[in-house]
Amino acid sequence: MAAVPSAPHQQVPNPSLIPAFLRNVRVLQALGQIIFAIVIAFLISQLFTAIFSSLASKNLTPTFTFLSNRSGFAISGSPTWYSSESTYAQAFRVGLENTFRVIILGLVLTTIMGVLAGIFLLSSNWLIRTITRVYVEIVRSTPLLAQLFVWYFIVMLSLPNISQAFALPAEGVVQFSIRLFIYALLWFVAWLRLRELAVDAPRRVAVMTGLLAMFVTIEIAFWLNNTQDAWKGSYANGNIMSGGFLVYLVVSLLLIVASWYAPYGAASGLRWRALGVTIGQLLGGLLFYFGIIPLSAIRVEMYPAVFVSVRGFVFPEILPTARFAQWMAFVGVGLALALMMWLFFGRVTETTGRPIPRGLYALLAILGFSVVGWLLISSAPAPSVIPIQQADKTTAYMTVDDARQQGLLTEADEQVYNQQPFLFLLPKQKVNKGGIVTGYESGSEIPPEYMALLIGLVVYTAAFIAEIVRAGIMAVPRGQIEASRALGFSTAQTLRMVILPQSLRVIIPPLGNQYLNLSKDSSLAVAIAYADVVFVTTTIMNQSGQSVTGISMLMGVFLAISLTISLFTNWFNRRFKLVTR
Amino acid sequence: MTTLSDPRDLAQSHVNYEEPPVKPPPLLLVGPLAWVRNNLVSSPLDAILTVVGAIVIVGVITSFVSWAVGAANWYAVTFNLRLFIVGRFEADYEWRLVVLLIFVAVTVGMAFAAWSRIRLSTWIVLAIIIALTFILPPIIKATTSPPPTYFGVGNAVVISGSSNITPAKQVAFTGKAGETVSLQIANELNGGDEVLQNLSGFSDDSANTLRNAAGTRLGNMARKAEIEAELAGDLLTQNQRDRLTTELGKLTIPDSISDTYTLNSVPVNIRILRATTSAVVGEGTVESNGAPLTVTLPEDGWYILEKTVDGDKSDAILRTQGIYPTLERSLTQGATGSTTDAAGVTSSGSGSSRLSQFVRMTDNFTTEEPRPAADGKNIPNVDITANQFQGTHQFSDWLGLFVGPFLGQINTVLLVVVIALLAGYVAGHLIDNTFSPRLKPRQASGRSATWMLIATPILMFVFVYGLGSLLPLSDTARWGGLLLTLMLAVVGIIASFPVGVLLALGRRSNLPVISIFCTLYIEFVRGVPLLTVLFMAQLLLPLINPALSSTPGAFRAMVALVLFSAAYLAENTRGGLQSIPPGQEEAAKALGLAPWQVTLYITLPQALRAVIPAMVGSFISLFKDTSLVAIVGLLDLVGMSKNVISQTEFLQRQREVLLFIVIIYFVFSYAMSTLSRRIEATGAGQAMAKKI
Repeated sequence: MAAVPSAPHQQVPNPSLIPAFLRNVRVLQALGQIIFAIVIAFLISQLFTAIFSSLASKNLTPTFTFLSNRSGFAISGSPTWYSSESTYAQAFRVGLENTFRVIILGLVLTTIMGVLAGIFLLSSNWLIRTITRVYVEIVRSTPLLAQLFVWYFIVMLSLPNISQAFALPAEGVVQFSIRLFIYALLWFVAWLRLRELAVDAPRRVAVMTGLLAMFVTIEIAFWLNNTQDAWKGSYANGNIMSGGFLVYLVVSLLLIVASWYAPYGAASGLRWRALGVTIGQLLGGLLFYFGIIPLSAIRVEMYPAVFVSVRGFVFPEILPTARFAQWMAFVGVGLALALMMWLFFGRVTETTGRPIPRGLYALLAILGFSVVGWLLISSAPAPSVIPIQQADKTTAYMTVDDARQQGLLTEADEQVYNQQPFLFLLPKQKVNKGGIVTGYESGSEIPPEYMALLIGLVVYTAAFIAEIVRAGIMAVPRGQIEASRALGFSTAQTLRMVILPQSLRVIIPPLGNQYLNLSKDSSLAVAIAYADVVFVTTTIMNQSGQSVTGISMLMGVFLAISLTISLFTNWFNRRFKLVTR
Repeated sequence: MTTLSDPRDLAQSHVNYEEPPVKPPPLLLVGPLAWVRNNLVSSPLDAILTVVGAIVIVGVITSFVSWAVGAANWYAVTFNLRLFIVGRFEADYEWRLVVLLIFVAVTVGMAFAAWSRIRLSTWIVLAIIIALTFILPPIIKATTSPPPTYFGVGNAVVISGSSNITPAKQVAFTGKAGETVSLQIANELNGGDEVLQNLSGFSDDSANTLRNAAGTRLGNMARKAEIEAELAGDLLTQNQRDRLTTELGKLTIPDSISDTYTLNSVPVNIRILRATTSAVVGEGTVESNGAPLTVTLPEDGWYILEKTVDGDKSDAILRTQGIYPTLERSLTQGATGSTTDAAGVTSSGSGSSRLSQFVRMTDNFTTEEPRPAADGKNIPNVDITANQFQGTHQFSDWLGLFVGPFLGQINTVLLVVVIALLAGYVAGHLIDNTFSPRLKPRQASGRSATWMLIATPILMFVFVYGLGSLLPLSDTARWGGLLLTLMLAVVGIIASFPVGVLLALGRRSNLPVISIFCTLYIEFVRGVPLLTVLFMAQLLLPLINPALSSTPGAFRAMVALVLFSAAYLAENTRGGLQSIPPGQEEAAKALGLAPWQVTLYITLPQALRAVIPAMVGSFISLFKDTSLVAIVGLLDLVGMSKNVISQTEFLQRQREVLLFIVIIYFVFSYAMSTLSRRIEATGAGQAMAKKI
C-alpha cells in the first residue's frame, strides 16, 4: 500500500506574487510605522534646514548667546534692578515674574469668584440666580480679548486722574455717636435676658420690637433736627406745654390703646408687635424731647488704605522688619502644634466616635502662638541710641522715637529698628508745593494694565468655573442630602461631609482645565501692553530678530506652566479619589 | 346592651356632619405673593441679597440707558458699519457677498423646514420688525429736527484754562441743493453763565470754549463754597485742611463770562458763498432778538459761511439750522470703480488715486467736491472732530442722529435676508409635499438642507475668495470685520475637523509610533497658548520657503487656527471613541468587516454623534479665539474696532465701538450654544450611547 498524501492538508500555493512575510499583518504594521517615522523625520528635518538656512542667509542664525546682550528697552513697572542697560535674559526674567504674578493671584481669585457664582447659580433667590446667569452667559459668549479691551480702555482709562483719585475709605474724621454703642448694649442686654423665651413669646416680641422702634424713632428725630428747619431745636426742648408735644403725646397714647384693643383674629403675634412699636416710639420720642440721649461722639481720623486712579491702584505695603524671623519662629511652633493636635484629635474621633472640634483647637493654637509671639517680640526694647544720617551728611545719635518724631527715620531704618515684626505702611500721596499730587510716598503701586488683565482673566474664567461648580453640586443625588439631614447633620456638616467630597470628584478635572486656560490666556496681556513674558519676548524678538529662539522660549515657558498645573491637578484628583473610596 | 367604647367618651363625643367651610389658601402660600416670598425674601439674608441685587440692577440699567441715549455718540458705529461687517472688501465683488448671504438664509430656512418649525407668530414679528426698519427712518426724519449747530463770532479772544481761541471768520460746510440754512443769534443762551453752560448741540471750538469757561467758572464757585463749608466744620484731618487751604488759595473766579465778552449784544454780518465760484448765495445781518436769516442753497457741494461783527471787543454765538458736521472718508479710485476705505486704514493698492468723500453725519449726504481753500490753506470746515456734540442728547436727537441712520443702513439687507429665509422655508415644505415618502414626511427637505449645509462653507470660500477665472480673486488684505472673523471661524472649523478626527484615531491606534506622534502633537499644542501658534505661523511660515512669504496674513492665521483647534477637536473625538462599548467593534470584526470599515461605519459615526455638544463647545471657543488674530495685525472685528478707535474722529468713542462688537460676538456665540442645547435635547449625544 502506497501512502497516499492527504490532499486536504496540502498547502495551497500562494496565488499572489507578494512573498508571505509581506502579508503578515505585524510585519506590515511595523513597516508602515517605520515609513511613517521616516517621512515625519524627513519633513521635520527639511523644515528645520529650510528655516535655519533662510535665517542664516539673513545673518540671524538662532542662538541663545544673544540673551546676554544689552536689551536697550525699559519696562514700565519693572523692579529696580532692571534698566535698559540690563540684558535680554534679565528682561525675560522680568516678564516671567509678571506672568507668574498674574497667574498665581488669578488662580486664587477666580476660584473664589467661580465657586461663589456657581453657588449663586443654584440660589433659591430668583433675582440673584438670574443676575448670575446673565453674567455667565454674557461673559462666556464674548471673546476674552474684547473683554480685556473693555476692562482696559473703558474701565481703567476712565478712572479719575491722580489728583482726584478715589480713596477708600475717604480721608477725614468720622464721628461714631455714643448712642450707637448704647443701642448695641441695650439690644444685647435685652437679648441676654430674654433668650430663654421662645422666639415668638409675647414678652420677647414686644421688647425687641419696642427697642428697635425706639432706636429708629431717635435716629429719625435726630435726622429731622439736623436737616429740617421746622424741627431745629426740638432736641432737649423739654417744654411740656408746647402744642406739638401734647398732640404727639395724646396721639401716641391713643395708638397704644388702639393697638391693645385692635381685633387681630388669628394673628395674635401682631398685637405684641404693635404694642412694642407704639410704646417704643413714644419712649424714644420722650428721651429725645427731654434731651436724655448723650450727644457726645468718638472722633476717629480715617486715612485711605487704597487709592484708585488712572495711574493704577495703590495698596498698603506690608514689609517684614528685622524681627520678622523671630516672630515666624513662634508661628512655626504654633503651626506644628496645630498640626499635631489636628492629627491626634482626628484619630481620637475615629477610634472613640467622640466629636472634638479639632479645627477650632488647631486655629486657637496658631492664633495663640502668633499673638503671644507678637506681644513678646514687640515688647523687647529698641536700641536706645541709633546713628542717623542728617541732611548735612553728618551722623547724629538719638533715640528711635526722637528720630521718628523729627521725620529722620527712613523706610529702611524703620525696617531695622521697628519693634513690630511687620511694617504696615498706608499709602500716602506725594503733594508738590502747588498742592498737586505727583505720586506716592509709600504703598505698593499696581499698574492699571495689571489690574485690567487680572480682572479680565478672573471674571472670564470664573464664569466657566461657575458652570462647573453648578454641575458638580447638581451631580450629588438629592437623596444624599435628604439622608444626611435625616441623620441630623447640620447644613455645614452636610456641605462639608456629603456634598463637597462627592461633587469635588466631578469638579476637579474640568477645573484643572480652566486653570490651564487661565494661565494660557494670560498671554493676551500683550494686547493691553502689560509687560508679561509674551510682551517682553515679542519686544526682544523685534529688536534682536531672534524669532525662532524667542518663540521656542515662549512655548517652553507655557509648556512648563501647563505641565506643572496638570501634574498638580492630577495629583489632587488621585488623592481625592483615594480618600473618598 | 354592651358597649365596647368607653361610656365617658360616648357621652361627650361630638360628630360634625357638615362639610368644613372651604377657606381660601393663605395669601402667602399661593399666587404671586408666595412666589415673591419663596424666591426673593425666604430669609433675612435672602431679603438683603434681593435688595442689594435690585439696587445694583436698577442702577446699572438706568445709568446704561442714560449713557446710551444721552451721552453716547454712536456715529463711530453708524459711519463705520460697512468696515465692521465686511472690512474693505472690494465694492465690485460685493454682489458675491449678497448672493452668499441669500444662499445662507435660504439654507437656514430649509433647515428650519426640515428639522424644526417657525411659528406664524415669529413670521409676523419678523415682518413687523422689517416694516419698522423701513417706516421708522422717514418718520423720525419728518418729526425730529436735528440739533442746532453753534458758531462763535467776534474779535475778542476766548480764553478758558490754557486754550485761547479766536472765532473763525470763515467756515466751510456742505449743503444739498434746495436746502435752507437759517442763522440767528443764540438768544436762548443769554441770561448769564448758568444758561450758557447748558449749551446743547454741535458747537465749534470758540462756542465750546465759551461754554467751558462758563462751566469752569460756575464749577469753581461751587467748589469754593464747598471748601469753605468743609473748612468751617471740624471733620477734617490736618492733612486735608492744609490741602484744601492751598486749593482755596489757587481757586480764581473770573467775572461772568457773558459779561466779559458782552455776548450776543452786537449784530453779526453774514455772507454765504458757493465755494467753487465764490458767488454770494445769501447775505444779511442778524440782530440780537431779530429775525433769523434764511438762505436757500442752489446746488450740492461746499459753501463758505462768513461771519463778522463790527464791534472790537464783543463776541456772539450764532445758532444755525442746516449746517451739520461732516466726516471725511478716503476713497480709492481704482480702474473699475471706487472702493470705500476707512479714514486711517492705509490702502496697499498702487496705481490708484485717492480722493476724499465728505459725509454729513445727520443724514449721510455725501459730496466728493474737494475742500475749499484760500491762500493755499484749507478753510476750516465743520468737521466732527472740531464740532463735537456738547451737552446731553435729547431722546429725539438720539433717534434722529443714530437710530434713523442705523436702521436706514440695515433695512434693505434685513428685508433680503428675511425674504430668502421665507423662500427657503416655503421651498422646503413644497419639496416635502412633492417628493417625501408618506412614512418619512420630511425626508426630502432634510436631504436638501443637509446638502446645502455642506455646500455652504465651500460656497463661502469660493464667493469670498474667488475661483480662478470664473470669479476673480479678491484681495485678502482687504478682508476685515465680521467677514474675516467668520471666514477664519468657518475655515478653522471645517478644516480642523478631519485633522482632529485623524489625530484622535491615531492617538488610539495600537501602532506605537503613530500613537506617540499624535499624543505628542496633541499635548504640545494644548500646552501652548494660541497666541504663540499665531506668532509662529506669522513669523516662521515665510522662513520655510520664500514662496510662502507672500501668503496673505489671513491664510497664515487660518493655518495656525486649524493646527491649534485640531488638537482640541481630537481630544473631544477621543472622548467619544472611548464611550463606544468595545462589543461594537468586536461584533463588527466578527461580521468580517475590515478595520477601516469598522472605524468608518461603526465606531466613528457613533463617537461623533456622542460628542456633538462638546464639539459645538469647541467651535464656539474657536469662533471667540479668532479675535486673537487682531494681535498679529489682522483687521477682524476686534482688530477693526482697535483701528477705528485709534482714528482722531473716533478717539473717545471706544465704549460705543467695543459695545457694538461685543454684541455681534454675543449674538453669534449665543446662537451656536442655543443650537447645541437643542441638539443635546433631541438626544443626539448621550442618549444614543445609552440605547446601545
